[in-house]
Order: sequence, then C-alpha cells, then structure tokens
Amino acid sequence: MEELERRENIVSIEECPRCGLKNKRKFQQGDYVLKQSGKCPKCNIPMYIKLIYAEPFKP
Amino acid sequence: MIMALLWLPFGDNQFPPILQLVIIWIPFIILIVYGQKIQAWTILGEVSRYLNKLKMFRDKARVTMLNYVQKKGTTAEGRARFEELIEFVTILPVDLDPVGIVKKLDHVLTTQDIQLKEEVARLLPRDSTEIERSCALNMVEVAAALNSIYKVVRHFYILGKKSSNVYILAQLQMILPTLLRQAEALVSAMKALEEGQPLGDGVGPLVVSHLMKDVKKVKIARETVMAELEYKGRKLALIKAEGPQGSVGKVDEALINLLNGHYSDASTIIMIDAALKLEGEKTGEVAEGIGAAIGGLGVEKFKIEEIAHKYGIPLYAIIIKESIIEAISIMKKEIAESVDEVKEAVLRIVENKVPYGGKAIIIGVGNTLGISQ
Repeated sequence: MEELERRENIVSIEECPRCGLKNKRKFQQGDYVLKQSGKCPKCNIPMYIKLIYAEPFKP
Repeated sequence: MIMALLWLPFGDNQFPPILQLVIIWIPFIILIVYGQKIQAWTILGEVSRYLNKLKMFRDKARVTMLNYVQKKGTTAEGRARFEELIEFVTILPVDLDPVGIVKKLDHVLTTQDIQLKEEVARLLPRDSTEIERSCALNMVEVAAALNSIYKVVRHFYILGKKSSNVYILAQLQMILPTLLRQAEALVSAMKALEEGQPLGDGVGPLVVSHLMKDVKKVKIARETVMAELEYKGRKLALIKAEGPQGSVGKVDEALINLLNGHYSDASTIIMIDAALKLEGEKTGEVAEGIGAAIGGLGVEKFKIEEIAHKYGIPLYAIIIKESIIEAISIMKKEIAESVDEVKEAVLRIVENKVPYGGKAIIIGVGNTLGISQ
C-alpha cells in the first residue's frame, strides 16, 4: 500500500505570464491550475500555476 | 521379500510394476477423479489472495474518506451516514421498451447526482468550501466503486467455493488482474481527491482553462462555465465544468443553451476529451476525428448529437489517449504536456473550418478537479 503512494512525485509548474519563465516545484496543498503563485524573479509579477502532474518517483 | 517383489522382472520391461503403479497409475487416477477439485483449490487460493488485496483497498479508501470528512468537521452522526453512502444504489430504468430510455436515464442519473450532492453538503459543516464538498463527494463515489468491486468478486468467490465450480473460478481468475489494477488506480485517485489534484480525465478542461485564462467567465449551466474569445476574426465560445472543485459539469446543457441562443449559426463544435488508448499506444498521444467526444453512459453524448444534428453543425473531436487507470489517477506528465499540442490542433481546426466572422464552440470534457478557469 505504501508503494502505491510513493511511486510518483507530484509537481506544480509555475509560469510567468509576461516572460514565460517556468519554475517547477513540489505540489503544495491548495494548489490548482491557474492559481496565482509566487513572483517571477525577472519581472517581479505574480506567476500562475500552468500545470500540475505526477512524474516518476525520484528519491 | 518386499524388495524382491519391487524388483520383480515384468516381461522384457525391467521397470518394477509396483513402482509403475505408484508413480504413473495412482496419480493418473487421482487426477482423473479429483483433477477439477485440485484445480479449483489452486484457483481458490489465488482468488483468495486477490480478494484480500481488494478488501485492503476497499478499507483503505473507506478510512481515507472517513478521515477526510472528519477532518473537515462532520459529526459522529455524519460519519455514520457517510459510511451508509458507500452502499448507495442507483437502479437504472427498464430497457424492455427502449423508446425514450435516454430521458429516463438522464432523470435517474440527475436525481442521483443531486441527491448525493445535497446529502454530502448536509453532512459537512455549513462553512465548508465547494472544493471540500466536491472532494468528499468524489471520495464517496470512489469508496463506493471499490466496495462494489470487492463485493462482486467476493460473491463469485463464495459461489465458486460452495459449488467447487472451476468455470466460475477460472473466469474470476482471468479478470482479477485487470480488476486489481483498476482498484489500485481508484485507491491512488483517493490521494488526488484528498489534495484536489487534477486527474488524467481532466485534460479536456485543462486545455479549455488555458484558452479562457484571460477572458471573462459566466455560468451557463449547472456547475458549468463559458467564456467568449476572439481569435483571428472568429468568435469562440469556450465551455468547461466549473473548477477547481471536482465536477464534470453539464456541458450538454451548456451546448444546448448556446445553440438555442446566440450560437445557433455556429460553424463547428470542437470537443476535447481524454479517450481510452489501446495497449501499445503512447500515453498523451493526440488524435483528431469526427463525432461527440464524451464518455459516460451515453446520455450527454445522445443530447449533444441530437442538438448538433438539429442545427446541422459538424462535430469535431480531439482526443488525448490514456488508459482507464491513468484517467482516474493523478494526471501524468505526458498527458499534461500534451496541452500545447491540443491547443494548436483546436486553433488549426478553427482557422480551417470556421470562416472569417464565423463562430465556433469548444468544449473541454472531463472532471475539472484542481483546474480553475
């Protein structure tokens, strides 16, 4: 049962709406697609979550 | 004396007849008489192991669901009622006379949907959010599905055991690996539901959410939103279920409302949905075609085909291939990354099939959990 839960990493991909800079981070409770999240280090404007997905587990 | 008997020559054959009897004939007779029973015992052992796993999955889902609703503040009475909801049944309409069955089916399914939603909303505290309610509802549905799988398998296991019917057990043994994979996917979906993460089935709403990101959204049907977008001189109506709560919305009703309103002169309807891939096909592969891309029991599909036929509007489909397990689990990278390719395909169809100044309706079909607009 534990194996089932540990096989994947869930990540949120943030994107800056202006410069298109992408940032990959671990999924946090409350994240959803198109939610404003963090600030773009280049443009200093809020980024939004473009995608949330599971990728193979990397310890 | 015995040793002598054992090695007694038997014609030209030097192999002792008693050993022949013990090694060949007795097992042969045992296999003829008890072969089926032995096979049944072997299968029973294997099915029993699968059944234990299914029970473990069912219990895990049940506990996860109950812990979730308790964490969200349901009472002890509410918790007990949630347990009862796992056993909730829906009796499908009679199909002896199939005329008008879609309307009856629609009525039964809508009643079930409303009933479950109201019950979950009643059992959770009043200040609970829409997302929490939809997550609890989806978890009840998953726990009920696992409960149903377990009970059906257990039924045939006991039936096969009682009657020692090897044919019942063999059929069960053959489908169990597939059932177990589905059960595994359902259990992993519980985790996604608990945390509000997008499912593989949500790729249709995901594409539409990206298209409608910067434009104004309005509610057009129950749990369904719509936005209008100008694209190279064409007017696009974008439809998806309202997120980020887990819902598939009423995209059929939304389409009917649009076609009976300002979009009766639309040139095309484009539907985007996750579709089952065949073994050997790549997950996240995008394919284009014709027809209503929508799953389920067929009620929505029927209504969409009817209204499209009534107005003579072609239906185009864009499907993203995935397995049934991937559809009900957390969205995989390959599926999520197909979004840009699907967007390009949608806009290409719009440019090719919709004249300048014309209109198109684009529908993202699927569960929009974890996907806003």
